[in-house]
Amino acid sequence: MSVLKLALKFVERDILFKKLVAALTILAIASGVAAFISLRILGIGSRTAAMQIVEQVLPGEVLVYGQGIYDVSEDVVRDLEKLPGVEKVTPAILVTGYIGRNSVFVLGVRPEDLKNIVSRYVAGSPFTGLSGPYAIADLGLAEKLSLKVGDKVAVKPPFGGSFRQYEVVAIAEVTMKIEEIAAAGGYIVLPLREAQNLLGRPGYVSMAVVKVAEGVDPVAMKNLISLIYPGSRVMLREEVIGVVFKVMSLIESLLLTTTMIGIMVAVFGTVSTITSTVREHQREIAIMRANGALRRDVALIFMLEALVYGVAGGLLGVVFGILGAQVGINIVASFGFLNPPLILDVPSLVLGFLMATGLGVLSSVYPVWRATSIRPVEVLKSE
Amino acid sequence: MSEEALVLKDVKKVYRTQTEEVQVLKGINLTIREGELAVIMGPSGSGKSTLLSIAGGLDKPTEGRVVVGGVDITDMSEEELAKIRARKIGFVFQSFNLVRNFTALENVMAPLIFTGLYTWKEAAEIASKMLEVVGLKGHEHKFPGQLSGGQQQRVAIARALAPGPDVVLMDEPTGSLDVDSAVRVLGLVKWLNEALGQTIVIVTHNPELSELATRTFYIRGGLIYEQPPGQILAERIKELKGGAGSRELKSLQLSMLKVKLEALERAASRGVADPGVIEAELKALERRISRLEKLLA
Ligand SMILES: Nc1ncnc2c1ncn2[C@@H]1O[C@H](COP(=O)(O)OP(=O)(O)OP(=O)(O)O)[C@@H](O)[C@H]1O
Ligand SMILES: [Mg+2]
Repeated sequence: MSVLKLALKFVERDILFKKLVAALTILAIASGVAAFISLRILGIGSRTAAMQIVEQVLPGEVLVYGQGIYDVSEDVVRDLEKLPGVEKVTPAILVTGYIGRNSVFVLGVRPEDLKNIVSRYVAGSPFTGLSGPYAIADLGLAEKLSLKVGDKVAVKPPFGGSFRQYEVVAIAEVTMKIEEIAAAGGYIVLPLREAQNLLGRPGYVSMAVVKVAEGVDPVAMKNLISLIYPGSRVMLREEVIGVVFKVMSLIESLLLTTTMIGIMVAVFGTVSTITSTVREHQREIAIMRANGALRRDVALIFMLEALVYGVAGGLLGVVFGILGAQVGINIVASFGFLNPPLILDVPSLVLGFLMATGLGVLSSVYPVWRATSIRPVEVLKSE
Repeated sequence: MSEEALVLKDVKKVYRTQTEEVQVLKGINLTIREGELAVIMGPSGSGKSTLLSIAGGLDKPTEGRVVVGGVDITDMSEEELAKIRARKIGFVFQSFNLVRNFTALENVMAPLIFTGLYTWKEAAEIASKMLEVVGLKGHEHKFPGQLSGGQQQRVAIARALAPGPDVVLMDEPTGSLDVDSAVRVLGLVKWLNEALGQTIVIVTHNPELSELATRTFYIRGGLIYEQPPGQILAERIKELKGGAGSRELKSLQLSMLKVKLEALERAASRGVADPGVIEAELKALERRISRLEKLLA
C-alpha cells in the first residue's frame, strides 16, 4: 500500500514539525488512559486484598450474630457444631475498647483460632491458654503506643470504669479487618475467656463463624440456622464480601467520574489538534486532491495522525497507569488496613490501550470530515 | 498524429452568490491538440482560472462539455474526477504548489501513488528521473522550504508531468517568481513541450508568455478568441534547456516509460483499473516508446 506509506510520511513530518503540540496531545490521551488504568488496577488489587482478608479471617462460610453486640451464647456454638453439615465453629468477640485514651479493637479468640487472624508474628510468641492475662498487640497499635513484648497494658471495655491488665506476649500483624475496614485504631487480641470477663459476659461471644462440611451448600446452612435460631442474624461470607465491595464500588465510581473527565480532556485535545492540523494544511489538501488524491486518501492521512496519537498516548498511558497504580497502592497501604497487590490485569491494560486508539480515531472523525470536504478547486483561491 | 488532448464545447459558467449571478464564461469553444503549447491571456477577473479549473476537472461547467484525452469528464462523479486528474491531468499553480510535509521526490511521487498503479519503488524511480529532467538532480530529498521559488516551480512541473498526463494546465506559473527564475522556468516549459511533446496550456495575464506559445488565445467578456499566428517564437528565451541533453533526455524518458508500461501491464492483468482505460493508455505508451526507440537508434 504505497498510499499508506505516503500518508505515514506526511504524518511523521507533521508530528516532527510541531513537536510540542504533538507531545501535549499524546500526554492528554496518556493521562486519561493512565487514570483509567491505575484506578482499575488499584480497584482490582483492593478487592483482591479485601477478599483475601475476609476469606482468611473468616474460618467459615456462615456467620452467626446475636441481636446485641455480644450475645451469642457459647452453648449455641456447641449446638451449632452438632448440626449436620457443620465442620467447625469458631467463636469470637470483636468490640471496641480503650487503652488509655486510645480506642482499640478488642478481639477475643481461642488460642487454636489465632492462626486465622494473625498473619505474622513480629516479636514474641502467642498465648496458648483459653484464659490468662496475656495479650497480642497489633503491629500498628504497638507502634502507636510504643509497646514492646513484656509491657503491661490496661484495657478498658467500651463502657464502665473497670479495666484489666495484660502482659504483651507478642507483636503481630493482625488481619481481622472485616466490618471495620474503614475504622482507625489497632487490635489487641486477648484469650477468649479474658475478653468475656473484661466485658462481664462470661459464656457469650459476638459471633460464631461456621465452616460447613465439604459438599454442603452454605445457603442451605444459613437457612437452617435462621430456622433454629430465629432471633439471630446470619450472614454468608459472600455477603460480608459483598458489603465490602459495595463500599469499594462507591469509591470506584466516584474515581471513574474523574477518569471520564480525563478522557474528555483527551478527546477534546485530540479533536482540536487534528482540527488545527487540517486547517494548517487546507491548501495542501486541495493540492493533493487536484493531483488525484481521493477523499479516502485524505481521510487516511488525518486518521493515521490521530491513530498515532492514540497509540502513543495509549502505550504511554499504560506505563503511567501502572506507575500510578503503584503510587495508589502505596497510599492505600499506608492507611494500614489493606495491602493491595499490584495485579497487572491484562484486560484492563488492553481496554485502556484500545480506548486510547479508539478515542483517537473517533476524535478525528469530525476534522477528517472537514478535511475531505475541502474541494480541490480551492487551490485556485487564496493565492 | 494530431489527437485532441483537450476539448471544451460551448462551456458556460455562472457563479451564484446570495446577491447576484455572475456569468463568467459565456460559451467557450476550445480544442487543444496533442503537442501544442497554448497560452490563454486575459485581464484579471476575466475567468482564466475558472476556465482552467473546468478544463482540469476541478470544477463543473454550468453548461457545455469537457473532453480530456478523448474521455468526456463532464458528468463524472467527484471520485471519478480525482482518478482522472491523477492520470490524465497535471497542474501547476502560481505559488505554494507543493506539500510542505513531502520532500521534492515525494511531491513528484504523490500523483503517481494516487493512481494506485505504481509500487513505491516504481513511483520513486519515475519521480527521480523526472526531477533529473527538470534539472533538480541532487535536490530529491529537500523539503519545499529548502528550495528557491524557481526550484519549487520546477518540482511542481516535474510533478505535473510525472504521470504522463494528456495535458498539463498552468495558472500563472511564473506569477510569483523574479524575472531570472521566471525566464528559466519558462525555458524549461518550452523545452519540455518541444522535447517531450507534452501538451501544455498556460493561462496568464502576462502577454510576454505568448512568445512561447504554439497557439495564443484571448479571453474577454466570457468568450475566447484565438490570435492569428505569425509571431516570432521563443527568440527571447535565453536558456532553452532543462537539466539534461536532448539525447540523454530521450533515454531518460524511455526508461521512465518502460517502468510505466510494466506497472500498467501489471494493473491490467490484476484488473485494478478499468480495462478500457488501461488498454488505451497501454497503446499510447507503446506508441511513444517505439517512437523514442527509433529516435535513439
Ligand atoms: N466561487 C466563486 N463565486 C463567485 N464568483 C466567483 C467565484 N470564483 C470566481 N468568481 C468570479 O469569477 C470571475 C473570474 O474569476 P477568475 O478567478 O476565473 O479570474 P482570473 O481571470 O483567473 O483572474 P486573475 O487573473 O486575477 O487570477 C471573477 O469576477 C471572480 O470574482
Ligand atoms: Mg486566476
